[in-house]
Amino acid sequence: MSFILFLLLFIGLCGWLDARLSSPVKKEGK
Amino acid sequence: MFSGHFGVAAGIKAIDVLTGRAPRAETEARRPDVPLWALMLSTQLLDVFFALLLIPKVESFGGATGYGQGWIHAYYSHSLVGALLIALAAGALASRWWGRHGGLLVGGTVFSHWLLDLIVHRPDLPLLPGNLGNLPFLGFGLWNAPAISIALEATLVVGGAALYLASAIARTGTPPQAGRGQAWLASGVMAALLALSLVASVLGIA
Repeated sequence: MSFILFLLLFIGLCGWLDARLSSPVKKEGK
Repeated sequence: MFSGHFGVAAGIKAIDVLTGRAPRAETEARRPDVPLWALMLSTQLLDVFFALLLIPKVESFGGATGYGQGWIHAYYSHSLVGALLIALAAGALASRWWGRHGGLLVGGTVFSHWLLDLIVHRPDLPLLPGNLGNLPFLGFGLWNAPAISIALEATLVVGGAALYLASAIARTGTPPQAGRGQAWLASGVMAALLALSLVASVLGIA
């Protein structure tokens, strides 16, 4: 259970921060 | 091995970003980026299947608690052929969203889990699903030398985090300072979580 919880926390938090990082580049490319 | 798998995923994402930003032919469309969450999920996908198969007791684990002390009885999720099939399925699914390159990246990341497990596990990884044919189990048993195993995992964590920071900075806008804070924040949070999971794993908490 702790594995699944940590996995969700890790994926959610890192994924969200990474997605925020990606967005300005996409706008720039347009 | 838990945080080491995440380190590999961070490194793969970073290398993909850094190589994808290299000058390319103008006629070539920029390939779609595989998001970090997909690679993080991919790198742990075999353990996700393992956790799901624990519920109906199809798979199980035993042995002492503590870093690298356990044995797994994961005859489906962690068999060589099972891992290849899961990687192929995940890669095929990913290619629908992120193209052929994305499919290869996701499939490779899924299978990297089995390769890392092969290095550290004691021989408990079967070749065929369900251990068909009672063939010999695989595993080089680096967990028998915890100091080396922890050093390997720490190297993967530090290397993955450092590569990710480099790629995050490379993704910041123009002028270069724009978004650099976000790059450090994203990399810092990732490094902190990776370090936390490594410490928890070494202390036998997780």
